[in-house]
Amino acid sequence: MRFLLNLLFLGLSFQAFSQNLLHTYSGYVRDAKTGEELIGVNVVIPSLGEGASTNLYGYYSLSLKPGIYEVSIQYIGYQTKTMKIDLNKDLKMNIELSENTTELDEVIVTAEKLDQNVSSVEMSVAQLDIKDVKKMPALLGEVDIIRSLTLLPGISTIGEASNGFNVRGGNTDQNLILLDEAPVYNSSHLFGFFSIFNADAVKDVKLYKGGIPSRYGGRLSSVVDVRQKDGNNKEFSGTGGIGLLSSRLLLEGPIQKDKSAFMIAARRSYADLFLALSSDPTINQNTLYFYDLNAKLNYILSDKDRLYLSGYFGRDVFELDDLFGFDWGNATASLRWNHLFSDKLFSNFTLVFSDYTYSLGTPEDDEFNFRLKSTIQDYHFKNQYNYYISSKNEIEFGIEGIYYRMKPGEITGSFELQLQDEFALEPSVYFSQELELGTRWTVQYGLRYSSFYNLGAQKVRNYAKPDLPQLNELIDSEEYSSGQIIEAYNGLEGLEPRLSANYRISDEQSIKASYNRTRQYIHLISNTSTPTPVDLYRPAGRYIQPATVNQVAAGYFQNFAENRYEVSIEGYYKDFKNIVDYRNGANLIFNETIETEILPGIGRSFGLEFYLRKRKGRLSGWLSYTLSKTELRVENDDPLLAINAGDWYPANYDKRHDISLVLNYQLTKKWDLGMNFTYQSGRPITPPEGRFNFEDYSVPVYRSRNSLRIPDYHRLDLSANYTPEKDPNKKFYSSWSLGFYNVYARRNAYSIFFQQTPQAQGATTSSFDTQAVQLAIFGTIIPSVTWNFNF
Amino acid sequence: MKTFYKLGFIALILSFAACTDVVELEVPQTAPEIVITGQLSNTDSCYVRISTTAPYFSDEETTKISGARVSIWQGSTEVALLTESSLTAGYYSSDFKGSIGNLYHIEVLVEGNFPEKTLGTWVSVFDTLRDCPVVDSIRQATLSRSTTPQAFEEGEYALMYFGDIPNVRNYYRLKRTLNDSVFAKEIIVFDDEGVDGIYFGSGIFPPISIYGPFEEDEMEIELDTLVVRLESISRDFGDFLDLVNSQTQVGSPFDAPPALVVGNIHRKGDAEDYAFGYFNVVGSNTNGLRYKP
Repeated sequence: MRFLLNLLFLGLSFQAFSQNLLHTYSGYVRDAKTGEELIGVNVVIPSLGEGASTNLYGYYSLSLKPGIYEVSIQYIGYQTKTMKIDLNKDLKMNIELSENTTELDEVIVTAEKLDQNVSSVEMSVAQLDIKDVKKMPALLGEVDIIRSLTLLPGISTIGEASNGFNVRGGNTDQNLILLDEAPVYNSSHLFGFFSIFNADAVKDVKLYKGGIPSRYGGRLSSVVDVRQKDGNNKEFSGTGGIGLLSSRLLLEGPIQKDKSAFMIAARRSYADLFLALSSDPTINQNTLYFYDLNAKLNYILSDKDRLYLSGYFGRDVFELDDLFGFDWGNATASLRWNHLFSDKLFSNFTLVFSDYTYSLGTPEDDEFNFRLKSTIQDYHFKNQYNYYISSKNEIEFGIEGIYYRMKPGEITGSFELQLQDEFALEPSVYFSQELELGTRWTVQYGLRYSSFYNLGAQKVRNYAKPDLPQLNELIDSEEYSSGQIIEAYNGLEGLEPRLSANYRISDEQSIKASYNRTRQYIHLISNTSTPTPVDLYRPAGRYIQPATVNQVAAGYFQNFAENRYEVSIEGYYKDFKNIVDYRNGANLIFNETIETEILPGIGRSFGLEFYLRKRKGRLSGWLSYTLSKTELRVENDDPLLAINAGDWYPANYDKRHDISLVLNYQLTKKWDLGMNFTYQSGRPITPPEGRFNFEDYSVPVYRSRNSLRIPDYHRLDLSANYTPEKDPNKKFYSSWSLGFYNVYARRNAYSIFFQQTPQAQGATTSSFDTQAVQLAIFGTIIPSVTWNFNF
Repeated sequence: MKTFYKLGFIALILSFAACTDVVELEVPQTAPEIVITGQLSNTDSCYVRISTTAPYFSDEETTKISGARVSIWQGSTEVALLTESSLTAGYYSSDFKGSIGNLYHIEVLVEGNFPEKTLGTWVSVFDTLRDCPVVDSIRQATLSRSTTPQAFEEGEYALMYFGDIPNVRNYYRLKRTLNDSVFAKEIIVFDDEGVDGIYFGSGIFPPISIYGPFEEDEMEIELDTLVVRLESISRDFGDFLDLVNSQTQVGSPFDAPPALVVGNIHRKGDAEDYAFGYFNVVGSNTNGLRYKP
């Protein structure tokens, strides 16, 4: 804590020193057409070689000596604005930028600063412009932000039907996915085929793989920060589309022009209509669809105050005729208040509610009916401050508190049953400072301190061996009252230092390095290859320890040809502690003694990531390559509990080689073509080393976890987008997107499973013959067509 | 629960043209190990089968172990010595039946010219022979979707009436036999969580539908006979059966990860040197239905 105070003191000293000499040039940068605040806009004073970027709310602040300056406001995809300012006192200026009209020889593919790759202290960051994502080939034409991110180095999924994604050897539950600062617990629709993010409603998405800023915490491997559109405060407008899988519509407009705006977006799939076409009565009577709703209001209260209220509600619904129903989804709400205490001190107060619920059961009007419901809810309070001491010195600090309420299971209906609710509190405090030291060095150092309290009311079981709880060694149980601390994690292990450094070799080359330690206090309890919607998070407590990872990364970054090309090579090493694995045959659903099914393990991951990107010209896109290795280890004195006899084994999602090539070619003003090619090493599976007969079953003998690999995965997708010339007299315009997923119809293995032959599975046979069967999710080319419109 | 989930998934991927292919794979092989399975109940003769593991893709029968000494122990007393069948190698049986409430285990001594890892004395973990509720009746009834949503097709069904034993956690296994043929590849295991002491077949709890609808051709067989055997099993055996089920009923991305299926038998004096298989001790009751067209 003393270190933190010293840092704060250092920052304040700078402030005292600088206040006497400098004036502040500050304000918001907005889109001229919609009034949307723009994130990451470069506000540069060319004569000084100094500048600042707008923050996540579009705010910038520069402290400069008095004088007359030429200011250049640059943002990719927008016309650069240049103006003179007379800074003889503090100057507040809100700036509006107009979008570029696309020219064939200047197709822009990113919203970053042109030399961001080299100049920023940030490393291990994946960022995509939503406009680019919309041009990429997509499964069934459904623009998918998460799937697009997996084409960047270090990010992958197990396969097509996978809930979540893996970042640098991290499990899917190690990603903090934030939608307008609200955590989202399941980022997938339809069993992992599509993401929950409606691209029309998203303004900005950024994924941190390493060098994670101290303002983020609670997950080990990554942070995905998704920001919804604020709403057009200039004029009413709409966007929508009709595709093979779903239709969508977004409406936005001013409530009070230039002062307040709304945005509402809805999407609904109609996969259930496809099911109805099946001749199989066990399929055609089923219902399966998803829908989601994004909404946002924002209100400019004054020059210093702005209010945002945003929400998301999404559901997947599956009904097996009128026999059985199953639904799941996220709901979030965020209330944020930006306040400027001064031109240099920007603050944000946030209240967040997040809910993930699944429910399944029989219709209520059944004579014998039941419904199982399970929920995780959390309530957040955040208060963050950004203090812009000078253009070379920025401090960020804040506090955060999360209160969790988890309802692992509750059955209602003809009979009632309930697992104990679980409660927890996760307070944290953080600080970071970004400093430019001379002309070559930029450092960002910070510290986050997090703690965690598992709270009552709850009955906690005591076992003979607390380190290895076993059902047959249950001693007794203790009652804890509401709010009483059951287990506290508030020691020094909660310190999470973060450090990033950039050494700029030249304007076009830099070397960066980072270290971060992150803690995770809630674990997804999931024992399948890919998580399912019925998997739920459980908090750290008496028997489940918080997980920790230490990550170091270093990289070389270079831009060529006036920033038209960028190249980076990054290497990383991660060391995981207390990750969760499971006993053989663990029963995780509606289990009140979940601690008896869990085994703690460790992990390690290391890799090399190569990224080449062409940013301008008719042809744009990138090539990424990741070489990585991720291993886990679960040791135990009991040989039946130790996995792989206690040796290291590859993680389910370990893929040695991962290559993606993404290209977009602007053929004419009306046509652009897209291509994705991806190649990945096969993921590991566990082969049987023998079999034994039990009754009529051939039971495989598995010992060496993940010692075999499925065939390598590769796939080519193509797309063509047709955008007719806009009629300047009409507000309405539309475009078409054609797509072909899996062009050469490869039957990529999702998994290989081992079973008795169909003949041996017959009810009347006593054969024990076995076979290996490869499952491919898509065995053919998947065409798509989508009509998009704007007005 | 995950079954319904899998159903949804399968429905979805079928609409996306998912496919499966049988593939040739080379998998590692380990030396043969001993496999012991068997059952002791209060109603039937007890039996034990002894064999070895085999390479996974081998079409050959597993090796049967003959000449073993197999005995049943009640507490610390040997109460029965099983004799090997002259017709089926590795199959040992005895007329001995267990009694409710007693603890039993088996002891198996393997000697002779068999794989090295199978040799020695093997014992099962003590298990209690549990009381099993009486299956009061199996009745024939006509069901339709309008009256019983679970009845996908209208027709004649067999319904089981029984009451759970109250105030004790019970785990049950149901075995079905149609015209003297046991339903193969079928593991039906359930417990009384949330329904302790409930009678299935009165009040809001309907009887359990155990078979149906009878097929047309079955309806023409006047003496169609369905027999149901309800077994009261241990939780450990229930977990073992669940594990067998999860490791053999595979084929979706949401399968449980491969796991070593180990039962309750180990080398005498060394609990960590396990055998494959399970010796289960069950209380059981049987009832049946002769179908009337």
